[in-house]
Amino acid sequence: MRRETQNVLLLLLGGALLKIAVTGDYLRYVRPAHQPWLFGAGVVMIVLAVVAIVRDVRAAAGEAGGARDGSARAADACAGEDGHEHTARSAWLIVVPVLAVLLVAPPALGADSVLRTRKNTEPGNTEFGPLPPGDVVALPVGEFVARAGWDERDSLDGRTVRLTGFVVHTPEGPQLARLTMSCCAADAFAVRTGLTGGQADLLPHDTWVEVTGRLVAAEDTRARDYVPDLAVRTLREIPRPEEPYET
Amino acid sequence: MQVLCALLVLAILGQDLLREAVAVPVLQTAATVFVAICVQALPFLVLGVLLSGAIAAFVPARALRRVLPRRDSAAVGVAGVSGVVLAGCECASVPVARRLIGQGVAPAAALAFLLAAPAVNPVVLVSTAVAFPGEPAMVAARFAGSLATALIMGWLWLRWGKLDWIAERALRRMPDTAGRDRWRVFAETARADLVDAGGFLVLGGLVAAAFGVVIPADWFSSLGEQIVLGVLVMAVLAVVLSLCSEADAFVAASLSALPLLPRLVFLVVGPAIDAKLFALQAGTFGRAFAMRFAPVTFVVATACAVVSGLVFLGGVR
Repeated sequence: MRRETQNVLLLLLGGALLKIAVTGDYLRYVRPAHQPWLFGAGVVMIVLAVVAIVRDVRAAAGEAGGARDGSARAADACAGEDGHEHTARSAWLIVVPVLAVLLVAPPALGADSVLRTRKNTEPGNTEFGPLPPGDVVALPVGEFVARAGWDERDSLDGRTVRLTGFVVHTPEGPQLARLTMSCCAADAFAVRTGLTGGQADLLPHDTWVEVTGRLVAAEDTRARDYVPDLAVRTLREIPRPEEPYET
Repeated sequence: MQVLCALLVLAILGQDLLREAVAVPVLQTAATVFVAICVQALPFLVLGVLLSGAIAAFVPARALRRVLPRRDSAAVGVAGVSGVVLAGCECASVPVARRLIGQGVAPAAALAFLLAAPAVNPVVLVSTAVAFPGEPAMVAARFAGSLATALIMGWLWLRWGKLDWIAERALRRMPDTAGRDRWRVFAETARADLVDAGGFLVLGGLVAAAFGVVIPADWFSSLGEQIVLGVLVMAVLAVVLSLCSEADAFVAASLSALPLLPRLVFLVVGPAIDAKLFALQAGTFGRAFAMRFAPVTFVVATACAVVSGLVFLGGVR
Protein backbone atom coordinates (compact mmCIF):
# COMPACT_ATOMS: atom_id res chain seq x y z
CA MET A 1 0.00 0.00 0.00
CA ARG A 2 1.31 3.43 -0.89
CA ARG A 3 2.16 6.00 1.73
CA GLU A 4 -0.42 8.46 0.41
CA THR A 5 -3.15 5.86 0.74
CA GLN A 6 -2.11 5.07 4.31
CA ASN A 7 -2.30 8.72 5.23
CA VAL A 8 -5.73 9.15 3.70
CA LEU A 9 -6.94 6.07 5.58
CA LEU A 10 -5.61 7.51 8.84
CA LEU A 11 -7.36 10.81 8.11
CA LEU A 12 -10.62 8.97 7.48
CA LEU A 13 -10.31 6.81 10.58
CA GLY A 14 -9.44 9.78 12.79
CA GLY A 15 -12.32 11.70 11.25
CA ALA A 16 -14.72 8.84 11.91
CA LEU A 17 -13.71 8.71 15.59
CA LEU A 18 -14.11 12.49 15.94
CA LYS A 19 -17.46 12.36 14.21
CA ILE A 20 -19.02 9.85 16.59
CA ALA A 21 -17.44 11.61 19.57
CA VAL A 22 -19.01 14.92 18.53
CA THR A 23 -22.44 13.64 17.50
CA GLY A 24 -22.83 11.44 20.57
CA ASP A 25 -23.18 8.30 18.43
CA TYR A 26 -20.27 6.84 20.37
CA LEU A 27 -22.73 6.12 23.18
CA ARG A 28 -24.06 3.27 21.05
CA TYR A 29 -20.72 1.50 21.34
CA VAL A 30 -18.83 2.56 24.46
CA ARG A 31 -19.50 4.14 27.84
CA PRO A 32 -19.74 7.92 28.27
CA ALA A 33 -16.33 8.20 29.98
CA HIS A 34 -14.67 7.10 26.74
CA GLN A 35 -15.40 10.38 24.93
CA PRO A 36 -12.13 12.24 25.72
CA TRP A 37 -10.18 9.16 24.61
CA LEU A 38 -11.96 9.22 21.27
CA PHE A 39 -11.21 12.91 20.81
CA GLY A 40 -7.57 12.29 21.68
CA ALA A 41 -7.20 9.31 19.37
CA GLY A 42 -8.96 11.08 16.48
CA VAL A 43 -6.82 14.18 16.82
CA VAL A 44 -3.57 12.18 17.07
CA MET A 45 -4.43 10.17 13.94
CA ILE A 46 -5.23 13.28 11.96
CA VAL A 47 -2.10 15.10 13.16
CA LEU A 48 0.14 12.13 12.31
CA ALA A 49 -1.41 11.86 8.86
CA VAL A 50 -1.22 15.61 8.16
CA VAL A 51 2.40 15.82 9.34
CA ALA A 52 3.34 12.95 7.05
CA ILE A 53 1.47 14.46 4.08
CA VAL A 54 3.03 17.90 4.57
CA ARG A 55 6.50 16.39 4.87
CA ASP A 56 6.04 14.27 1.76
CA VAL A 57 4.82 17.24 -0.25
CA ARG A 58 7.71 19.37 0.99
CA ALA A 59 10.20 16.61 0.30
CA ALA A 60 8.90 16.27 -3.24
CA ALA A 61 9.16 20.01 -3.75
CA GLY A 62 12.64 20.06 -2.19
CA GLU A 63 13.86 17.25 -4.40
CA ALA A 64 12.56 19.05 -7.43
CA GLY A 65 14.49 22.13 -6.35
CA GLY A 66 17.50 20.01 -5.53
CA ALA A 67 18.18 21.97 -2.34
CA ARG A 68 18.06 19.55 0.57
CA ASP A 69 20.66 18.50 3.04
CA GLY A 70 21.72 14.91 2.72
CA SER A 71 20.83 13.58 6.15
CA ALA A 72 17.22 14.71 6.02
CA ARG A 73 16.76 13.18 2.62
CA ALA A 74 18.30 9.95 3.83
CA ALA A 75 15.88 9.86 6.77
CA ASP A 76 12.92 10.44 4.48
CA ALA A 77 14.03 7.85 2.01
CA CYS A 78 14.36 5.35 4.81
CA ALA A 79 10.91 6.16 6.13
CA GLY A 80 9.35 5.93 2.70
CA GLU A 81 10.95 2.60 2.09
CA ASP A 82 9.66 1.42 5.46
CA GLY A 83 6.15 2.36 4.48
CA HIS A 84 6.46 0.27 1.37
CA GLU A 85 7.77 -3.00 2.67
CA HIS A 86 6.23 -2.98 6.11
CA THR A 87 2.58 -2.56 5.62
CA ALA A 88 1.03 -5.71 4.38
CA ARG A 89 -2.28 -5.70 2.62
CA SER A 90 -3.87 -5.96 6.06
CA ALA A 91 -3.74 -2.18 6.37
CA TRP A 92 -6.61 -2.12 3.89
CA LEU A 93 -8.80 -3.50 6.64
CA ILE A 94 -8.75 -0.05 8.25
CA VAL A 95 -11.31 0.87 5.63
CA VAL A 96 -13.85 -1.52 7.21
CA PRO A 97 -14.50 0.39 10.45
CA VAL A 98 -14.39 3.66 8.51
CA LEU A 99 -17.20 2.49 6.24
CA ALA A 100 -19.06 0.89 9.14
CA VAL A 101 -19.00 4.09 11.18
CA LEU A 102 -19.53 6.66 8.44
CA LEU A 103 -21.98 4.83 6.19
CA VAL A 104 -23.73 2.08 8.12
CA ALA A 105 -23.57 3.49 11.67
CA PRO A 106 -24.89 0.33 13.34
CA PRO A 107 -27.44 1.05 16.08
CA ALA A 108 -27.06 0.31 19.76
CA LEU A 109 -27.62 -3.32 20.75
CA GLY A 110 -31.27 -4.20 21.16
CA ALA A 111 -33.81 -7.00 21.15
CA ASP A 112 -31.61 -9.35 19.12
CA SER A 113 -28.91 -9.43 21.82
CA VAL A 114 -31.52 -9.79 24.57
CA LEU A 115 -33.03 -12.82 22.85
CA ARG A 116 -29.67 -14.58 22.87
CA THR A 117 -29.93 -15.14 26.60
CA ARG A 118 -32.81 -16.17 28.83
CA LYS A 119 -31.52 -15.42 32.27
CA ASN A 120 -30.88 -12.51 34.52
CA THR A 121 -27.48 -12.94 36.12
CA GLU A 122 -26.64 -12.42 39.75
CA PRO A 123 -25.36 -8.92 40.53
CA GLY A 124 -21.92 -8.55 42.07
CA ASN A 125 -23.38 -6.82 45.10
CA THR A 126 -26.48 -8.18 46.80
CA GLU A 127 -26.48 -5.78 49.76
CA PHE A 128 -29.25 -3.29 49.14
CA GLY A 129 -30.08 -0.12 51.06
CA PRO A 130 -33.68 1.06 51.45
CA LEU A 131 -35.37 2.56 48.39
CA PRO A 132 -35.65 6.36 48.35
CA PRO A 133 -39.03 7.70 49.52
CA GLY A 134 -41.72 8.91 47.10
CA ASP A 135 -44.85 7.65 45.40
CA VAL A 136 -43.01 6.47 42.31
CA VAL A 137 -39.34 5.52 42.45
CA ALA A 138 -37.32 5.71 39.25
CA LEU A 139 -34.93 2.75 39.09
CA PRO A 140 -32.50 1.38 36.52
CA VAL A 141 -33.84 -1.92 35.14
CA GLY A 142 -30.69 -3.61 36.40
CA GLU A 143 -31.34 -2.51 39.97
CA PHE A 144 -35.02 -3.46 39.81
CA VAL A 145 -34.11 -6.94 38.62
CA ALA A 146 -31.37 -7.29 41.22
CA ARG A 147 -33.64 -6.25 44.08
CA ALA A 148 -36.47 -8.45 42.79
CA GLY A 149 -34.27 -11.51 42.61
CA TRP A 150 -31.77 -11.20 45.41
CA ASP A 151 -32.90 -8.64 48.02
CA GLU A 152 -33.64 -10.50 51.22
CA ARG A 153 -35.41 -7.49 52.72
CA ASP A 154 -37.96 -7.32 49.89
CA SER A 155 -37.51 -3.58 49.50
CA LEU A 156 -39.72 -3.55 46.39
CA ASP A 157 -42.83 -4.85 48.16
CA GLY A 158 -45.69 -2.40 47.91
CA ARG A 159 -43.63 0.19 46.05
CA THR A 160 -44.41 1.66 42.65
CA VAL A 161 -41.38 1.95 40.38
CA ARG A 162 -40.68 3.65 37.08
CA LEU A 163 -38.47 1.81 34.59
CA THR A 164 -37.10 2.80 31.18
CA GLY A 165 -36.19 0.21 28.59
CA PHE A 166 -37.23 -1.35 25.32
CA VAL A 167 -39.82 -4.01 24.52
CA VAL A 168 -38.76 -7.54 23.64
CA HIS A 169 -41.20 -10.32 22.77
CA THR A 170 -40.12 -13.67 24.13
CA PRO A 171 -41.82 -17.07 24.28
CA GLU A 172 -42.57 -16.17 27.91
CA GLY A 173 -44.43 -13.03 26.86
CA PRO A 174 -43.52 -9.37 26.45
CA GLN A 175 -40.56 -8.13 28.46
CA LEU A 176 -38.93 -4.83 29.25
CA ALA A 177 -35.17 -5.06 28.71
CA ARG A 178 -32.07 -2.98 28.98
CA LEU A 179 -28.42 -3.78 28.27
CA THR A 180 -25.77 -3.23 30.91
CA MET A 181 -22.31 -2.34 29.73
CA SER A 182 -19.06 -2.00 31.63
CA CYS A 183 -16.61 -1.01 28.89
CA CYS A 184 -17.95 -1.46 25.38
CA ALA A 185 -20.91 -3.11 23.66
CA ALA A 186 -18.92 -6.34 23.30
CA ASP A 187 -19.28 -6.97 27.02
CA ALA A 188 -22.90 -5.83 27.35
CA PHE A 189 -25.39 -8.22 28.95
CA ALA A 190 -29.16 -8.00 29.18
CA VAL A 191 -31.39 -7.43 32.20
CA ARG A 192 -35.11 -7.93 31.76
CA THR A 193 -38.45 -8.10 33.51
CA GLY A 194 -41.75 -9.50 32.30
CA LEU A 195 -44.58 -7.02 31.67
CA THR A 196 -48.08 -8.10 32.69
CA GLY A 197 -51.29 -6.27 31.92
CA GLY A 198 -51.28 -6.49 28.12
CA GLN A 199 -50.28 -2.89 27.40
CA ALA A 200 -47.03 -3.91 25.73
CA ASP A 201 -48.44 -6.82 23.73
CA LEU A 202 -48.84 -4.95 20.46
CA LEU A 203 -45.72 -2.82 20.56
CA PRO A 204 -43.00 -3.95 18.15
CA HIS A 205 -39.53 -5.11 19.25
CA ASP A 206 -37.17 -2.36 20.35
CA THR A 207 -39.89 0.19 21.14
CA TRP A 208 -38.55 2.37 23.94
CA VAL A 209 -41.06 2.80 26.76
CA GLU A 210 -41.31 4.23 30.23
CA VAL A 211 -43.45 2.07 32.49
CA THR A 212 -44.65 2.39 36.05
CA GLY A 213 -45.95 -0.49 38.08
CA ARG A 214 -45.31 -2.88 40.92
CA LEU A 215 -43.35 -6.06 41.26
CA VAL A 216 -45.61 -9.09 41.08
CA ALA A 217 -44.89 -11.02 44.26
CA ALA A 218 -43.47 -14.44 43.42
CA GLU A 219 -42.44 -17.21 45.77
CA ASP A 220 -39.30 -18.10 43.92
CA THR A 221 -38.02 -16.43 40.75
CA ARG A 222 -35.15 -18.89 40.47
CA ALA A 223 -37.30 -21.30 38.50
CA ARG A 224 -37.92 -18.48 36.04
CA ASP A 225 -34.22 -17.69 35.62
CA TYR A 226 -34.64 -14.70 37.95
CA VAL A 227 -36.86 -12.84 35.51
CA PRO A 228 -39.44 -11.00 37.65
CA ASP A 229 -42.81 -9.65 36.50
CA LEU A 230 -43.92 -6.06 36.64
CA ALA A 231 -47.65 -5.37 36.91
CA VAL A 232 -47.85 -2.41 34.55
CA ARG A 233 -49.92 0.56 35.68
CA THR A 234 -48.94 3.10 33.03
CA LEU A 235 -46.94 2.69 29.84
CA ARG A 236 -45.73 5.50 27.64
CA GLU A 237 -43.70 5.33 24.44
CA ILE A 238 -40.59 7.49 24.52
CA PRO A 239 -37.83 8.32 22.03
CA ARG A 240 -34.62 6.29 22.30
CA PRO A 241 -32.61 7.82 25.15
CA GLU A 242 -29.22 9.33 24.43
CA GLU A 243 -27.51 6.76 26.62
CA PRO A 244 -29.02 3.45 25.52
CA TYR A 245 -27.03 1.37 28.02
CA GLU A 246 -27.04 1.19 31.78
CA THR A 247 -23.60 1.14 33.31
CA MET B 1 -4.71 5.47 -3.93
CA GLN B 2 -6.95 5.02 -6.96
CA VAL B 3 -8.16 1.78 -5.47
CA LEU B 4 -9.12 3.55 -2.25
CA CYS B 5 -11.00 6.27 -4.12
CA ALA B 6 -12.88 3.72 -6.21
CA LEU B 7 -13.72 1.77 -3.07
CA LEU B 8 -15.05 4.85 -1.31
CA VAL B 9 -17.14 5.99 -4.26
CA LEU B 10 -18.58 2.51 -4.65
CA ALA B 11 -19.39 2.33 -0.95
CA ILE B 12 -21.10 5.70 -0.96
CA LEU B 13 -23.14 4.84 -4.06
CA GLY B 14 -24.05 1.48 -2.58
CA GLN B 15 -24.75 2.93 0.85
CA ASP B 16 -28.40 1.92 0.88
CA LEU B 17 -27.61 -1.58 -0.34
CA LEU B 18 -24.94 -1.84 2.35
CA ARG B 19 -27.40 -0.75 5.02
CA GLU B 20 -30.03 -3.19 3.82
CA ALA B 21 -27.51 -5.99 3.85
CA VAL B 22 -26.76 -5.29 7.50
CA ALA B 23 -30.42 -4.91 8.43
CA VAL B 24 -30.69 -8.58 9.43
CA PRO B 25 -30.76 -8.54 13.26
CA VAL B 26 -27.84 -10.96 13.67
CA LEU B 27 -25.61 -8.98 11.33
CA GLN B 28 -26.64 -5.75 12.98
CA THR B 29 -25.65 -7.08 16.38
CA ALA B 30 -22.35 -8.29 14.98
CA ALA B 31 -21.73 -4.94 13.27
CA THR B 32 -22.40 -3.07 16.50
CA VAL B 33 -20.07 -5.35 18.46
CA PHE B 34 -17.39 -4.98 15.79
CA VAL B 35 -17.56 -1.18 15.78
CA ALA B 36 -17.63 -1.20 19.59
CA ILE B 37 -14.43 -3.26 19.77
CA CYS B 38 -12.68 -0.96 17.30
CA VAL B 39 -13.89 2.24 18.95
CA GLN B 40 -12.93 0.89 22.37
CA ALA B 41 -9.48 -0.35 21.38
CA LEU B 42 -8.25 2.29 18.91
CA PRO B 43 -7.50 4.96 21.54
CA PHE B 44 -5.38 2.43 23.43
CA LEU B 45 -3.60 1.46 20.26
CA VAL B 46 -2.90 5.15 19.63
CA LEU B 47 -1.50 5.44 23.16
CA GLY B 48 0.69 2.41 22.43
CA VAL B 49 2.08 3.75 19.15
CA LEU B 50 2.80 7.15 20.74
CA LEU B 51 4.79 5.38 23.47
CA SER B 52 6.48 3.28 20.82
CA GLY B 53 7.39 6.40 18.85
CA ALA B 54 8.67 8.09 22.00
CA ILE B 55 10.87 5.11 22.85
CA ALA B 56 12.27 5.04 19.32
CA ALA B 57 12.99 8.75 19.27
CA PHE B 58 13.88 9.76 22.80
CA VAL B 59 15.13 6.67 24.63
CA PRO B 60 18.53 5.68 23.27
CA ALA B 61 19.20 1.95 23.24
CA ARG B 62 22.04 2.28 25.75
CA ALA B 63 19.74 3.92 28.30
CA LEU B 64 17.41 0.92 28.17
CA ARG B 65 20.37 -1.41 28.53
CA ARG B 66 21.51 0.50 31.61
CA VAL B 67 18.07 0.28 33.27
CA LEU B 68 17.60 -3.43 32.75
CA PRO B 69 19.78 -5.98 34.55
CA ARG B 70 22.49 -7.46 32.37
CA ARG B 71 21.44 -11.05 32.99
CA ASP B 72 18.50 -11.78 30.72
CA SER B 73 16.68 -13.94 33.24
CA ALA B 74 16.71 -11.05 35.72
CA ALA B 75 15.68 -8.63 32.97
CA VAL B 76 12.59 -10.76 32.37
CA GLY B 77 11.61 -10.28 35.99
CA VAL B 78 12.12 -6.52 35.91
CA ALA B 79 10.22 -6.19 32.62
CA GLY B 80 7.33 -8.27 33.92
CA VAL B 81 6.95 -6.23 37.09
CA SER B 82 7.30 -2.94 35.21
CA GLY B 83 4.19 -3.92 33.26
CA VAL B 84 2.39 -2.43 36.27
CA VAL B 85 3.03 1.10 35.01
CA LEU B 86 1.43 0.88 31.55
CA ALA B 87 -2.21 1.37 32.45
CA GLY B 88 -3.81 0.39 29.19
CA CYS B 89 -5.53 -2.43 27.38
CA GLU B 90 -3.59 -5.15 25.64
CA CYS B 91 -3.60 -3.33 22.31
CA ALA B 92 -1.24 -0.68 23.71
CA SER B 93 1.43 -3.12 24.76
CA VAL B 94 2.08 -4.82 21.41
CA PRO B 95 3.67 -1.84 19.63
CA VAL B 96 5.58 -0.93 22.79
CA ALA B 97 7.02 -4.44 23.13
CA ARG B 98 8.01 -4.45 19.48
CA ARG B 99 9.83 -1.15 19.89
CA LEU B 100 11.62 -2.40 23.00
CA ILE B 101 12.96 -5.32 20.96
CA GLY B 102 13.93 -2.91 18.21
CA GLN B 103 15.89 -0.85 20.74
CA GLY B 104 17.94 -3.83 21.82
CA VAL B 105 16.03 -5.10 24.84
CA ALA B 106 16.25 -8.89 25.11
CA PRO B 107 13.17 -10.32 23.35
CA ALA B 108 12.39 -12.46 26.40
CA ALA B 109 12.13 -9.35 28.59
CA ALA B 110 10.05 -7.46 26.03
CA LEU B 111 7.68 -10.40 25.71
CA ALA B 112 7.30 -10.63 29.49
CA PHE B 113 6.36 -6.95 29.42
CA LEU B 114 3.93 -7.60 26.57
CA LEU B 115 2.07 -10.22 28.62
CA ALA B 116 2.25 -8.48 31.99
CA ALA B 117 1.30 -4.90 31.06
CA PRO B 118 -2.37 -5.41 30.18
CA ALA B 119 -3.05 -7.77 33.08
CA VAL B 120 -1.37 -6.42 36.18
CA ASN B 121 -1.80 -2.67 35.86
CA PRO B 122 -3.68 -0.77 38.58
CA VAL B 123 -6.73 0.02 36.43
CA VAL B 124 -7.34 -3.65 35.71
CA LEU B 125 -6.78 -4.68 39.32
CA VAL B 126 -9.14 -2.00 40.63
CA SER B 127 -11.86 -2.96 38.16
CA THR B 128 -11.44 -6.58 39.24
CA ALA B 129 -11.87 -5.56 42.87
CA VAL B 130 -15.00 -3.58 41.98
CA ALA B 131 -16.46 -6.46 39.97
CA PHE B 132 -15.88 -8.98 42.79
CA PRO B 133 -16.68 -6.95 45.90
CA GLY B 134 -16.94 -9.95 48.20
CA GLU B 135 -13.83 -11.69 46.90
CA PRO B 136 -10.61 -9.73 47.44
CA ALA B 137 -8.73 -12.97 46.82
CA MET B 138 -9.73 -12.74 43.13
CA VAL B 139 -7.53 -9.65 42.76
CA ALA B 140 -4.52 -11.36 44.31
CA ALA B 141 -5.13 -14.52 42.30
CA ARG B 142 -5.42 -12.60 39.05
CA PHE B 143 -2.27 -10.59 39.75
CA ALA B 144 -0.25 -13.67 40.65
CA GLY B 145 -1.59 -15.77 37.78
CA SER B 146 -0.95 -13.10 35.15
CA LEU B 147 2.49 -12.14 36.41
CA ALA B 148 3.48 -15.81 36.59
CA THR B 149 2.30 -16.28 33.00
CA ALA B 150 4.42 -13.35 31.83
CA LEU B 151 7.56 -14.46 33.69
CA ILE B 152 7.28 -18.11 32.70
CA MET B 153 6.77 -17.18 29.04
CA GLY B 154 9.82 -14.91 29.26
CA TRP B 155 11.98 -17.67 30.71
CA LEU B 156 10.64 -20.21 28.24
CA TRP B 157 11.67 -17.86 25.45
CA LEU B 158 15.16 -17.56 26.93
CA ARG B 159 15.51 -21.33 26.91
CA TRP B 160 13.87 -22.26 23.60
CA GLY B 161 12.97 -19.10 21.74
CA LYS B 162 14.63 -18.37 18.41
CA LEU B 163 15.18 -14.93 17.02
CA ASP B 164 14.45 -16.22 13.49
CA TRP B 165 10.80 -16.61 14.43
CA ILE B 166 10.41 -12.87 14.81
CA ALA B 167 9.95 -11.08 11.52
CA GLU B 168 13.03 -9.14 10.51
CA ARG B 169 11.11 -5.87 10.30
CA ALA B 170 10.25 -5.99 14.01
CA LEU B 171 13.93 -6.27 14.91
CA ARG B 172 15.19 -3.34 12.92
CA ARG B 173 16.96 -0.87 15.14
CA MET B 174 16.14 2.82 14.87
CA PRO B 175 19.34 4.83 14.57
CA ASP B 176 19.98 7.08 17.56
CA THR B 177 18.97 10.57 16.66
CA ALA B 178 19.25 14.03 18.13
CA GLY B 179 17.61 17.43 17.87
CA ARG B 180 14.81 18.03 15.41
CA ASP B 181 15.28 14.69 13.74
CA ARG B 182 13.93 13.13 16.90
CA TRP B 183 10.48 14.56 16.30
CA ARG B 184 10.60 13.30 12.77
CA VAL B 185 11.44 9.79 13.97
CA PHE B 186 8.74 10.02 16.65
CA ALA B 187 5.98 10.97 14.19
CA GLU B 188 7.10 8.54 11.51
CA THR B 189 7.42 5.58 13.90
CA ALA B 190 4.05 6.25 15.50
CA ARG B 191 2.36 6.63 12.11
CA ALA B 192 3.87 3.48 10.61
CA ASP B 193 3.08 1.44 13.74
CA LEU B 194 -0.49 2.70 13.73
CA VAL B 195 -1.09 1.73 10.11
CA ASP B 196 0.61 -1.63 10.67
CA ALA B 197 -1.27 -2.57 13.79
CA GLY B 198 -4.57 -0.90 12.92
CA GLY B 199 -5.38 -3.36 10.14
CA PHE B 200 -4.72 -6.33 12.41
CA LEU B 201 -6.78 -4.86 15.21
CA VAL B 202 -9.67 -4.63 12.76
CA LEU B 203 -9.14 -8.25 11.76
CA GLY B 204 -9.24 -9.33 15.41
CA GLY B 205 -12.37 -7.25 15.96
CA LEU B 206 -14.12 -8.94 13.04
CA VAL B 207 -13.30 -12.41 14.37
CA ALA B 208 -14.37 -11.53 17.91
CA ALA B 209 -17.65 -10.00 16.73
CA ALA B 210 -18.44 -13.06 14.64
CA PHE B 211 -17.83 -15.40 17.57
CA GLY B 212 -19.73 -13.08 19.89
CA VAL B 213 -22.98 -13.66 18.01
CA VAL B 214 -22.36 -17.30 17.07
CA ILE B 215 -21.75 -18.56 20.60
CA PRO B 216 -25.00 -18.83 22.53
CA ALA B 217 -24.59 -16.93 25.76
CA ASP B 218 -26.35 -19.59 27.82
CA TRP B 219 -23.60 -21.99 26.92
CA PHE B 220 -21.38 -21.24 29.86
CA SER B 221 -23.93 -20.98 32.59
CA SER B 222 -25.04 -24.56 31.91
CA LEU B 223 -21.55 -25.89 32.62
CA GLY B 224 -22.16 -25.61 36.34
CA GLU B 225 -20.25 -28.17 38.30
CA GLN B 226 -18.12 -29.74 35.58
CA ILE B 227 -14.95 -28.03 36.65
CA VAL B 228 -12.44 -29.30 34.08
CA LEU B 229 -14.79 -28.61 31.22
CA GLY B 230 -15.61 -25.24 32.79
CA VAL B 231 -11.94 -24.25 32.92
CA LEU B 232 -11.35 -25.26 29.31
CA VAL B 233 -14.47 -23.58 27.98
CA MET B 234 -13.75 -20.35 29.84
CA ALA B 235 -10.16 -20.33 28.54
CA VAL B 236 -11.41 -20.75 24.97
CA LEU B 237 -14.09 -18.11 25.50
CA ALA B 238 -11.50 -15.65 26.77
CA VAL B 239 -9.67 -16.10 23.48
CA VAL B 240 -12.61 -15.78 21.13
CA LEU B 241 -14.48 -12.97 22.88
CA SER B 242 -11.41 -10.69 22.98
CA LEU B 243 -12.73 -8.48 25.74
CA CYS B 244 -10.80 -5.47 26.93
CA SER B 245 -8.81 -6.36 30.05
CA GLU B 246 -10.43 -3.49 31.94
CA ALA B 247 -13.91 -4.89 31.34
CA ASP B 248 -13.54 -8.66 31.42
CA ALA B 249 -13.84 -8.79 35.21
CA PHE B 250 -17.41 -7.51 35.00
CA VAL B 251 -18.32 -10.16 32.47
CA ALA B 252 -16.69 -12.83 34.62
CA ALA B 253 -18.56 -11.54 37.66
CA SER B 254 -21.86 -11.84 35.82
CA LEU B 255 -21.31 -15.54 35.09
CA SER B 256 -22.37 -16.39 38.59
CA ALA B 257 -23.46 -19.93 37.77
CA LEU B 258 -19.80 -20.89 37.48
CA PRO B 259 -17.38 -21.44 40.36
CA LEU B 260 -14.64 -18.85 40.83
CA LEU B 261 -11.79 -20.92 39.37
CA PRO B 262 -13.02 -21.05 35.74
CA ARG B 263 -13.80 -17.35 35.96
CA LEU B 264 -10.26 -16.67 37.15
CA VAL B 265 -8.95 -18.65 34.16
CA PHE B 266 -11.04 -16.37 31.94
CA LEU B 267 -9.41 -13.30 33.52
CA VAL B 268 -5.84 -14.58 33.24
CA VAL B 269 -6.03 -16.02 29.72
CA GLY B 270 -7.93 -13.10 28.13
CA PRO B 271 -5.30 -10.36 28.53
CA ALA B 272 -2.48 -12.80 27.66
CA ILE B 273 -3.87 -14.12 24.40
CA ASP B 274 -7.07 -13.56 22.48
CA ALA B 275 -8.18 -13.30 18.86
CA LYS B 276 -7.46 -9.58 18.69
CA LEU B 277 -4.00 -9.96 20.24
CA PHE B 278 -3.14 -12.91 18.01
CA ALA B 279 -3.91 -10.81 14.95
CA LEU B 280 -1.84 -7.93 16.34
CA GLN B 281 1.08 -10.21 17.18
CA ALA B 282 1.00 -11.89 13.79
CA GLY B 283 1.03 -8.48 12.14
CA THR B 284 3.75 -7.03 14.33
CA PHE B 285 6.14 -9.92 14.92
CA GLY B 286 5.23 -12.13 11.98
CA ARG B 287 3.12 -15.22 11.56
CA ALA B 288 5.92 -17.65 12.40
CA PHE B 289 6.20 -16.03 15.80
CA ALA B 290 2.50 -15.84 16.56
CA MET B 291 1.82 -19.44 15.54
CA ARG B 292 4.32 -20.62 18.16
CA PHE B 293 3.94 -17.99 20.86
CA ALA B 294 0.13 -17.88 21.06
CA PRO B 295 -0.62 -21.58 21.71
CA VAL B 296 2.13 -21.82 24.34
CA THR B 297 0.83 -18.66 25.99
CA PHE B 298 -2.63 -20.19 26.07
CA VAL B 299 -1.43 -23.36 27.82
CA VAL B 300 0.87 -21.53 30.26
CA ALA B 301 -1.79 -18.94 31.14
CA THR B 302 -4.41 -21.61 31.79
CA ALA B 303 -2.02 -23.58 33.98
CA CYS B 304 -0.87 -20.50 35.90
CA ALA B 305 -4.47 -19.45 36.50
CA VAL B 306 -5.42 -22.87 37.84
CA VAL B 307 -2.43 -23.03 40.18
CA SER B 308 -2.91 -19.45 41.34
CA GLY B 309 -6.60 -20.11 41.90
CA LEU B 310 -5.89 -23.19 43.99
CA VAL B 311 -3.40 -21.21 46.08
CA PHE B 312 -5.26 -17.92 46.55
CA LEU B 313 -8.86 -19.01 46.36
CA GLY B 314 -8.14 -22.16 48.31
CA GLY B 315 -9.79 -24.47 45.82
CA VAL B 316 -12.39 -24.44 43.09
CA ARG B 317 -15.09 -22.53 45.00
